[in-house]
Amino acid sequence: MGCFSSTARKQFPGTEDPLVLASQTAFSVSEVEALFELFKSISSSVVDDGLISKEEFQLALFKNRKKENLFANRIFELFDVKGKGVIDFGDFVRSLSVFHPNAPQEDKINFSFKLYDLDGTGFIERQEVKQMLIALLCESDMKLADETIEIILDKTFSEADINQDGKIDKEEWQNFVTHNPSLMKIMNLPYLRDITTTFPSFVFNSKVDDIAT
Amino acid sequence: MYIDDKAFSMQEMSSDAKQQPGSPSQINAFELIRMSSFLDLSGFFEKEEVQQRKIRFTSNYSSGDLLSKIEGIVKEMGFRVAKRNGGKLRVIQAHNKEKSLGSLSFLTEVFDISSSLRVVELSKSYGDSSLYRKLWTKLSNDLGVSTL
Repeated sequence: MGCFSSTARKQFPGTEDPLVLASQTAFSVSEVEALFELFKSISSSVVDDGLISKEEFQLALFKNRKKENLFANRIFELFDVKGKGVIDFGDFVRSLSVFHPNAPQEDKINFSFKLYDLDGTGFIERQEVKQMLIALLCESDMKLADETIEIILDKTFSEADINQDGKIDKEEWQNFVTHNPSLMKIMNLPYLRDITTTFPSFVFNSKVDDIAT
Repeated sequence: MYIDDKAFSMQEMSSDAKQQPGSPSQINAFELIRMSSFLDLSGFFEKEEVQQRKIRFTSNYSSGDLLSKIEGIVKEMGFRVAKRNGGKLRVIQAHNKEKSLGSLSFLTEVFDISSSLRVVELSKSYGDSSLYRKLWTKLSNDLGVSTL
């Protein structure tokens, strides 16, 4: 099976097989191996346990382990697929896969919907959008009059909330995003195309590649 | 793209009087929200903090005025400007066409928040951090206002 699996499994029992991960995601086997290098560096930064904690996640993204924020929290929750409070390698690969430029648009739309549905009710409520907007303004040191915020919300909901029930459901979100494709910018990480060059894994995996193709 | 088409026609009109609250070119909440540094996973792949690469500031100038003033300022500092459609500018260090030391490339986008307020977003693609910092500091000092 190649060196990867035995090393990974020895170090971190329960690490998923790269072949399986590659077959279920937008990544090739060598890309999964490259992602393992990235995963190793993130997951060992505070505690070397083969898992990414919230602190390690924040440290990797924001170079600051204490930097908490409602968006970062929500993203962590979504990456923590099994709800264990930590991200394992399988979670990491599967979640990042959605951000691959080649990943299906539908997956990106679903992820972004869950992202903005902060409390996971299955709807993006007006109050949630207001909360996120205010968070963005605070972060950017921007101040807007309450009235202006309401006008922006009105405009957004008049366009997105087709049945005018004060919240955006999955179908309405799909429709809205189709008309505003720039909203999906956050769901694309072009870096994922060059992952094998950015994180070369010094494992001879030609056997594994043959099996994969 | 949707927003850009509207911003482009705004630029052509270049008149503040046409800009009304709730007008078609006005940014929607999600366009603003997506600018958050905390929604940007590029941190996994970049050594530099997102906040050093993506800058936002607000301005009272009209979109058209902003874009031409930004163009003027960066050209004075020796940069080359490639205009994109809509409220976008690609700014490149004039002397180094390749990604070599001292080169810099970033994108500028202008969005309407309200009748009197624009948000400018600068995103670095690659290049010298201190040069970039010098540039966005100048742009936000000259053109920006942080409160409505």
